[in-house]
Amino acid sequence: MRAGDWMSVQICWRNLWRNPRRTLIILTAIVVGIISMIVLSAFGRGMMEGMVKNSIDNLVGHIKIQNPQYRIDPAIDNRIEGTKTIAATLDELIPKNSRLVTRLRLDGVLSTSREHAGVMIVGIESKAEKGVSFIGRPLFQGKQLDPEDTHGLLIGQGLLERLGLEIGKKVVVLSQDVDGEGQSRAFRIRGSYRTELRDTEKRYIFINLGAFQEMVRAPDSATEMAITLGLDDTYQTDEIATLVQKINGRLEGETLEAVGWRQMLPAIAAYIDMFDIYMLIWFVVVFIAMGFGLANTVLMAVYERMREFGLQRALGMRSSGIVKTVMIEVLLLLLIGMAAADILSFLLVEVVFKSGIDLGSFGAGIEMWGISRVIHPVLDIGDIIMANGVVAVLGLLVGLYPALQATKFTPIETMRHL
Amino acid sequence: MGIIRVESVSKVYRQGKLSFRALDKVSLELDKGEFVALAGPSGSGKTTLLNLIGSLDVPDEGEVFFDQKNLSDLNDSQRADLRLHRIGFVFQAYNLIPVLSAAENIDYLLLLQKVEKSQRIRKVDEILEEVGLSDKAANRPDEMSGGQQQRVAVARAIVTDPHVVLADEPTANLDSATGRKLLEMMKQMNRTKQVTFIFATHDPMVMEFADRLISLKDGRIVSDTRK
Repeated sequence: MRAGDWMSVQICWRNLWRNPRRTLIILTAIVVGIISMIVLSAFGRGMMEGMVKNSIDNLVGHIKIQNPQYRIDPAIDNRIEGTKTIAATLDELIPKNSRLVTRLRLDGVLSTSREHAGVMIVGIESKAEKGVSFIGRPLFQGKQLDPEDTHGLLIGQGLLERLGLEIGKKVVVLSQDVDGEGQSRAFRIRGSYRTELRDTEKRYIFINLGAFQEMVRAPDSATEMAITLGLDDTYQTDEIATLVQKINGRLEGETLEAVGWRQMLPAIAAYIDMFDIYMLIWFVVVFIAMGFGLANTVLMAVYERMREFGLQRALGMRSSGIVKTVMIEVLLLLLIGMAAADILSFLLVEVVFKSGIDLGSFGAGIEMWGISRVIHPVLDIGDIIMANGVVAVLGLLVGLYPALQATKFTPIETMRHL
Repeated sequence: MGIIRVESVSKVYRQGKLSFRALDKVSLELDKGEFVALAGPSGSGKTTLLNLIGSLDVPDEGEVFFDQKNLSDLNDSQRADLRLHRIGFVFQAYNLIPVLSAAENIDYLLLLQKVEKSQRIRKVDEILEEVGLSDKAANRPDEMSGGQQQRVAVARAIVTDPHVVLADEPTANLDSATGRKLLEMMKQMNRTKQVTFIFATHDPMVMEFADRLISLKDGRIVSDTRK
């Protein structure tokens, strides 16, 4: 930095504090504006990541292999046969830290002595589900299914309460077998689970895969094989897409198709794609409100100092020098505001809201969208850069107006005010 | 050939339908090293003439030459450069940048001129010594008296080694003793550095100090006396 530039910065810095109250007011506006940008984007991102995580956790996985017809008609006719052979093929393709689970998922009815409920019966490899889906997590009540347990059943706490059931009670499960005949079997409730989404609790019941295959007379069959990759970040969509392509290449000729979670959850994928645009629009809207204040404050400061600008021009400063002086002041204001806002945003997100915000009172509404009840804000460096970038670029553009106004004061006009 | 030549210059100020002829075909020539007072009552055109000589304004008619250079031929930036390198200014009030100390106010012009640091430090120290304000170097304008502020303004005007110093009512806000000291200092600089000083004033003390007194009335020169 040249000595002249340093002197300009010194003058500007001191000018800022000639009217500390005004400077503090506009700094507050800048800080609040940027905090609202960063913290709200952190909440938005936390909400979005929660949605993705819940959805992937909700028996989706990162990649799913299915008979494409099953997605149109989820009936046993559209099942996968020879799952053991396919699993062996997939094991060669997927990374070592990945998990592969096989599930048989069919519509059915759960009957008690008093009531019936339409349910989705899911046959699972209970041990393999650990770390893959919500059913692999510790239960709310009771114990996990033993792999050899042919009559054990896990039920959602919501459904358990709705039907007035208890752990250890016997229920009857009905579904259609491969020939379209109704089949039923008695099961004993071993445990109940809780999920972020209450609808899931009321809809899904889990039994051992072998028991379900036997019940519907479909040995070595499933309706889906789900892969969960050991990703640091669910958004590593390139890796998922590459693997999907590889699997589909290997499965060519079979009536099977591998799809990534973005294809399975198109609404969420679209929301993610639009999130950055939403945020940019939000940042610009916040800035517009802030920008008026900034322009007005700087303009006021410029008009108050018109004599000084006139004097500087009389002494030989060029118009460009005047513009530079005002722009340095604007830049200093923005830099102080941005630094303070970034620090405060970090503290808010990482300290104050670290344990998340419980949106329990909006439970029913948010669950509809697959949003977690507790939102953990996620600070993203990209959001911080975008918020600061919007404020810096638009702030300097807004500052240009008072700066150009300052050059309109001719020395003669300003000296007349002496 | 004079350092400043004013040839048949007129300046008219207009406001709405009203117009006021501040200068009416004024011609004059000023030589290097002169100590000149432009005197006259308010509205006589002395400040307007000073502004035209200082390239702060442009005439409606006629021409002003500074070092043989026609000021009408210069653009805004060239005029700013001329003021920065060749002309020093001392105004009646509000002369200094309030957020800078005495030394910084003087240094400011040297910085605009891109003078090298060691040379700047030396020049600022010397000029503060010359105007007797070494002990006030770190003081800001609001920590100095009016007389001290004007001395800083003179120091700043002279530190760039200008050819001409233009002073518009420099003693107007000072008591007579302080005004006299300031004028003595400027006169001393005029003698030692051969800098041309031009004052716009109606202070009799300034007229008394001047070697040449040019009186204006209604935008015309009515007398031009050399002592």
